[in-house]
Amino acid sequence: MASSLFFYFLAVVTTVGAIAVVAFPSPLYSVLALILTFLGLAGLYLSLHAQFVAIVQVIIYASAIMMLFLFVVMLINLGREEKRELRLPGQKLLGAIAGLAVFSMLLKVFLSTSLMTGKKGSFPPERVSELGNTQIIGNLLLTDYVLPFQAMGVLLFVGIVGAVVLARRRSR
Amino acid sequence: MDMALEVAVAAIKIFIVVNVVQLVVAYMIYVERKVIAHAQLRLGPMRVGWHGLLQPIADGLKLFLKEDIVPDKADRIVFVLAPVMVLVPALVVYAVLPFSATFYITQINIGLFFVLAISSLGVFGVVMAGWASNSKYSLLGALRSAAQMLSYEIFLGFSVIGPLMLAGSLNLQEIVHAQRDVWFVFYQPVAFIVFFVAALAETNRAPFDLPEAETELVAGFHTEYSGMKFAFFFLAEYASMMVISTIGIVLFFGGWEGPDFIPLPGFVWYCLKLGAFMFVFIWLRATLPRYRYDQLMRVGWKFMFPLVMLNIFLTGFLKYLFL
Repeated sequence: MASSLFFYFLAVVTTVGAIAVVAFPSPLYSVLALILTFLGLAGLYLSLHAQFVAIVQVIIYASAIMMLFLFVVMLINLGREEKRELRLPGQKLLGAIAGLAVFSMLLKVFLSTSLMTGKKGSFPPERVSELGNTQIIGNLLLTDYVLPFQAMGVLLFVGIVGAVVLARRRSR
Repeated sequence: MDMALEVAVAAIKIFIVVNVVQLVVAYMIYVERKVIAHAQLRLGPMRVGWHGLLQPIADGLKLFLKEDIVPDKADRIVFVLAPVMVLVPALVVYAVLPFSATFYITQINIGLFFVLAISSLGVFGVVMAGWASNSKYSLLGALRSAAQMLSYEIFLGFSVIGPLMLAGSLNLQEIVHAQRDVWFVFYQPVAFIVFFVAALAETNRAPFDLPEAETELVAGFHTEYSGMKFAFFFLAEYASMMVISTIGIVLFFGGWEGPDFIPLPGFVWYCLKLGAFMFVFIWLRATLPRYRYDQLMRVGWKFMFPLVMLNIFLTGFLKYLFL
């Protein structure tokens, strides 16, 4: 019972945070609301016994990336968002249609997979707590998924080099 | 029924820890003033009580009764929220710290990771304070602090990997147990040095107290704060100093365990080690001049980062060869 209460609390926090991100007129408030959303997500991971993922969510998303966002918002000193005329005619209608299309697709996927029936995968909570979360992820990353893992490393490295090159060129 | 009992026990433990931490912080400030005073051939607080021993209580009362000013142009909500955002993560972390073999609030398998993650949230409070104050000194202090804490968080995270590899666990209790024979500081001296420097920078302590460099930024991000809100920042700074010291003790100095030939209870060992750590913090503040901002970044990225990477590599290599 306690765990389902916990779930509903976190679900509300996450959703309200996500809505607030879009609804707040001030970018800084949006960033703060996004932090709340990420923390709520971390809590949801935690309630699924994915402790490692939860903590990584907090370290990378809620703290490092959001810090960067906050930094940018503060540096360029954005004021309140201005109300502007929409660019395209019928933009709202088109947006609504696109949104509904994505939603119906997601709904279809959701209904057609085992998410509804609650079929268990190869790492149910009991086994995770037995083996240790971090150990499982570490082993999987360096055995079965070593190629994607390395590819991601290369991608990040290219990103860093690109950032350095861009920053260098401007200072000269 | 069992669950209710568990919750009650946890609540009592949390109550004890939070209150003791606040009391210790109050006296830590007293000790800091005394130590720095004697380092500078002064006497420090002497008026309230014997050798100023009641000074922290007088200070606490003063802060409590002081007028609470919110600047006119400040963003009220964020301004009020900021001190809370600083203090809450600093106190939440105490949930997983082991104070002795038997006294801790809880132990989780990813204890060390939990500490790093939650304490990294504290920087938001600092940035929010700087932005909401609507003052250039506050904003500059906050921006500095954000860049500094983001950079040094990385070295802090990497420096704990060495001892982690030796212990083979993220659970703080198990890391302590792994050091029954030899403290990890002897296996991992480089990691400890990097850890300690990063800890100084993370807690905004001298010689890395750039976010509140009083000679250039008045008081940095908390320039506009007064009364209890200011006290919150102070409390958070010292509370996180104690957290980082505890992590240092657990990772490198065998936690609550001491040498067998001196039979002292675990909690006493912990307090002694914590005291030593805090003294070094204060001693450094009395001794070292402040780093310049570009020096801080250069030392971090060009010296400490390669060093700590090398340490991880060597640790893995040697562990593969000998263990």
